[in-house]
Amino acid sequence: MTYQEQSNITELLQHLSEDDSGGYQQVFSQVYKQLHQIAQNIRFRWQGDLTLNTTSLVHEAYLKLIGQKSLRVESRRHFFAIAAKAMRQVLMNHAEARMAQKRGGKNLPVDIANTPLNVQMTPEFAEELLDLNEALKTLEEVSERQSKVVNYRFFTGLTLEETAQLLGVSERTIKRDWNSARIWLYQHLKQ
Amino acid sequence: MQKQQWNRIQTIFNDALEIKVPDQQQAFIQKAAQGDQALIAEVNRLLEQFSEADQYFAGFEQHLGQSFTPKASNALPDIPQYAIIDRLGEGGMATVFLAERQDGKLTQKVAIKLLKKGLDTEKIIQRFESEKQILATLKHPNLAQIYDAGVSQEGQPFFVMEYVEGLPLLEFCNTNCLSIEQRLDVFEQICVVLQHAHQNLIIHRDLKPSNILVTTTGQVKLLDFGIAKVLDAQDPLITQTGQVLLTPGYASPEQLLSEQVTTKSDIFQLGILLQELLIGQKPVNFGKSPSDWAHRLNHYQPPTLKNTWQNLDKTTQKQIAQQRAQKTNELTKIFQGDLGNIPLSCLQADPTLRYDSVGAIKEDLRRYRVNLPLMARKPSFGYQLRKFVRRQRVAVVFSGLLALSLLGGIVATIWQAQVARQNQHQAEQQQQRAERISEFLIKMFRSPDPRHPQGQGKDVTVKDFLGKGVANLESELKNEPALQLELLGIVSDLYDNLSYYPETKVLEARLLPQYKKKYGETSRQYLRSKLRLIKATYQLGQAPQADSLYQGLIQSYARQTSTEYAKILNEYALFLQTAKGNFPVADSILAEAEKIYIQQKDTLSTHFADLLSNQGSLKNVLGQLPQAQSYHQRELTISKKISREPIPIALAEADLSTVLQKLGKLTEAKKMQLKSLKTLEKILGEDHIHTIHALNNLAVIYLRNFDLVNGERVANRVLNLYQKKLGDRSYETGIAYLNTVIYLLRKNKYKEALARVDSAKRILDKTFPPGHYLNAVPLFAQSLIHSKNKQGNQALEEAKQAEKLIKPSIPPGHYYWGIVYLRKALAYQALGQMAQSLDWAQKSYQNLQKTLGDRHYNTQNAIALLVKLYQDNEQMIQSKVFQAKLIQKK
Repeated sequence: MTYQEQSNITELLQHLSEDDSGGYQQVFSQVYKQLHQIAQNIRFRWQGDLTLNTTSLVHEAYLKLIGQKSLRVESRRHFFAIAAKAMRQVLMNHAEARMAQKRGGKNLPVDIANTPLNVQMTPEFAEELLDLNEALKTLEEVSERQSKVVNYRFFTGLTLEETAQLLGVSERTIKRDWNSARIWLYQHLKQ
Repeated sequence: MQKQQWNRIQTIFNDALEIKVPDQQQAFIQKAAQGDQALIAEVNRLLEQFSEADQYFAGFEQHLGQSFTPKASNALPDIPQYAIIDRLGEGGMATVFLAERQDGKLTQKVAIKLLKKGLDTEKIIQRFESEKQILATLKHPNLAQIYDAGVSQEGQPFFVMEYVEGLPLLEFCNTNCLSIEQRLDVFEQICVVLQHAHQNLIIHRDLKPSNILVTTTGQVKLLDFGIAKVLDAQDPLITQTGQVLLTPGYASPEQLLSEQVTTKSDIFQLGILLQELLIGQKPVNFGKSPSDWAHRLNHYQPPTLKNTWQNLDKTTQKQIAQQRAQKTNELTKIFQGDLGNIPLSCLQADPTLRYDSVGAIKEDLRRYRVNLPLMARKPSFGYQLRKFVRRQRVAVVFSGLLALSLLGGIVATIWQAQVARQNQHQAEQQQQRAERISEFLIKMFRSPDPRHPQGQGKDVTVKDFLGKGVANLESELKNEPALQLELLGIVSDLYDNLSYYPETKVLEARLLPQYKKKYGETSRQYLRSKLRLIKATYQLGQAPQADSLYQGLIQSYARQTSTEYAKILNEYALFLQTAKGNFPVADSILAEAEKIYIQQKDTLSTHFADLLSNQGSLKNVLGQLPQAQSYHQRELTISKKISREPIPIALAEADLSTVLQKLGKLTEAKKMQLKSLKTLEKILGEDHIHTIHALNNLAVIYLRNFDLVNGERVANRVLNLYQKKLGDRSYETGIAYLNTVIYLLRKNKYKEALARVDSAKRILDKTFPPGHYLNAVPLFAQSLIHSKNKQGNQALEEAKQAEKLIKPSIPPGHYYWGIVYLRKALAYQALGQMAQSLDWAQKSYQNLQKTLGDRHYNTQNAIALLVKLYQDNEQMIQSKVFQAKLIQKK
């Protein structure tokens, strides 16, 4: 990445509001490159391989993206928001493709082989993912912060503590959000 | 469900969740819901479902995680030619198996490291291919050799390595209760093999105790050499998982910051190793996340053995002593002594402050064991300041204050770092010293008195206020000679860096006797000062004096075969090359210097890179371009490996680019030169001598590309810059004049062209002795101009003069001869003597085609001449043949 690109992204992120979809697209493509790193983060969380704080990988991605060593919170928050969106997108694409594959269709919505991530899932899980996606959309309308907690946790692998730090609220608040979110989603999924 | 309603439910739900006792929970809900039955029922329903939800999402997350890695199969992998016997171990990225290689007759036990699926196989294989040669040839009894690599039937990359049976380093030492002495022995073994690898330009990158096994016979074996490099580089996935994150306790600061990894990183890791070996405690803990790292690195001080030991409780100390078969008070004594300086110097956060090489560590180990004082010393103020000052782009300073806070801040930080390592008494001294130093630097850079007429709104040149600074230093630091000497040394450095040679000479001449008195005649400082003085002397046109000074130095160092001596030889050779044109002698001197470096195993240093640079330049001048390329390539590789300093790399690139240009690889040359220029301009500024040199190279590349517009622009700019920088006393300005003449000729501005050549000549006459070959170059130009102006006799005369000048030192196959022939041919053409002209033109083409190639502008000129001559002679076929070789210029 050139110096120019780096500073552009920094500017973008620093001016980016969550609703600015134009800027988001630009950064998205850059973020997309770092997604495999985020994927590792998610993977390691659940394999319990690391005794380390798992944000490290995502941080690395971010730091690399920005090329700086210390950053203002504003930008980090935007980065994670974007990263989560991106990862979610990737997973949902895969899930759809997987379902289509199972059905034996010739027109796959996404070329599975051609993504930057090595993602594999069973058709059953693909369906679960897609259902979750829908349920999450409804949650977003009810509580923005709760949906954020879910997004960060599932799609960037952040812990509750890290999410709390990122959003600037107490860990207890985030824990409660996580509880609420899960019960809401569960209700919707089981319907 | 309405938002408000949901919010209310949630709140109660969450609060209730926090209450563990069921009765209390219910009581709470009743109270909070204020009797709303529907609400209470809802909350209870949620609570009931919650544990299901909890379980569900736990499973969900697990599947999510698994989406990114397929299930690891427990079956043994299938690799042709190898029979897998057993699984030896598993890491985050790879599994290690014991296998047997079946070669028909021999069976050999090997270890196979199989990389897990999900990693970028293509890239890894590619990288391994390029590293394989190096890795495979890296043979050493203390290295687990890598035999082979490939891809398994399932598409997983693997490495085949020597199978080593032994205990990991620390386990071995502790189980066998090795004493400190014995541990140092083991450590030295590790150093030897690491040195061997560094000589071969391979960095380990992942030196941790588990990567070092000791066999039952006490032989040390390093594993995984170079594999880390194959696995990391561009792919952040692997860098993170293979390097930093899985063994965070062993990463160097630059690895944590994802900066370039050099041999210094290995040295840092050696420091960690050594410390753990000696005292059983890991010296660094940078924490678990990048925010941690950033924070801790900022405040990082390598811990001393002494402090670490003192901070341990008695029981731990006893335990450690037991593992070393020594008594605690023995260890106390050892850890308080000099030994601690060795790991300390390895563990510096700033790579440039660490040991220069593994060899230096070995040397200090040796000195420790024979009770000599160690070389690992805490970095001096002067060194720190020098580094800082050198980095500044000091061009023209406007009247007004510079940003002094930056300056003050850095000095203060240096002071703080120093203080942490020294005791209170010294700390106080240092503090005062730091304050005085910053005081002086501030004074030096402070704006001139605004009341003074000169200072009002006028640009002050660096020279002026450096001069002022010197005056200040001398008057105000009269009573502190040590400090004064240090600061004046810095200023002299600046002068030299800025090519202010008269000032350098004057100042350095004053400092030299002081260095002699303070450090001795054989000290490094004295030598540096002396060399700088000599360089200034000959830059000022006093070549004979410089020569005798060099010879004097050589004599006094002759008996030593140290790298100091090699340095002197290097500079002398450079002098011989440029000032005296004495290539054969320079060549042999450089060869001798190279031998010394190799003998001293000091081939991973900036000094050696300098030597290679000179050798490359020499070969360049001699027209031995492939050798020149090889030397500069080596220079570049070494510069990249040993430090992150961008300037040596940029300089190496600039040199290499020149050679590439001469080899006709113009696209590569241009790319490299532009890259180098970018760095140089950015860091050193446009008017630094290195930048101008590089710019000059670029001008030549443009010319060779027949890009006359850019070529002329840059050539003129270069001339301007040299004139401003060096004035009319340096040969570079002279050459710069000549380089612009071509463009004037294209425009038929003969008078101007001649005038310029004259200026060039005057300079070259002054700067080079009469017989020096470079004096031929203006003659080339003059001959050409006169030919074009139909003054054949004069042209011929000048061509012959040029020939005489180059005869003694330029070898017969060199392209200068081709040019001489061409000039003669052109002269004869102007005189109407076509037969002669044709003869010489053919000779010229023969030479130039071989040495410069058809595409070079000189050769093109020869071709153009031949076309014309053949046409005039009605040899149409030949004419057409050569016509075809002409490149149409824009």
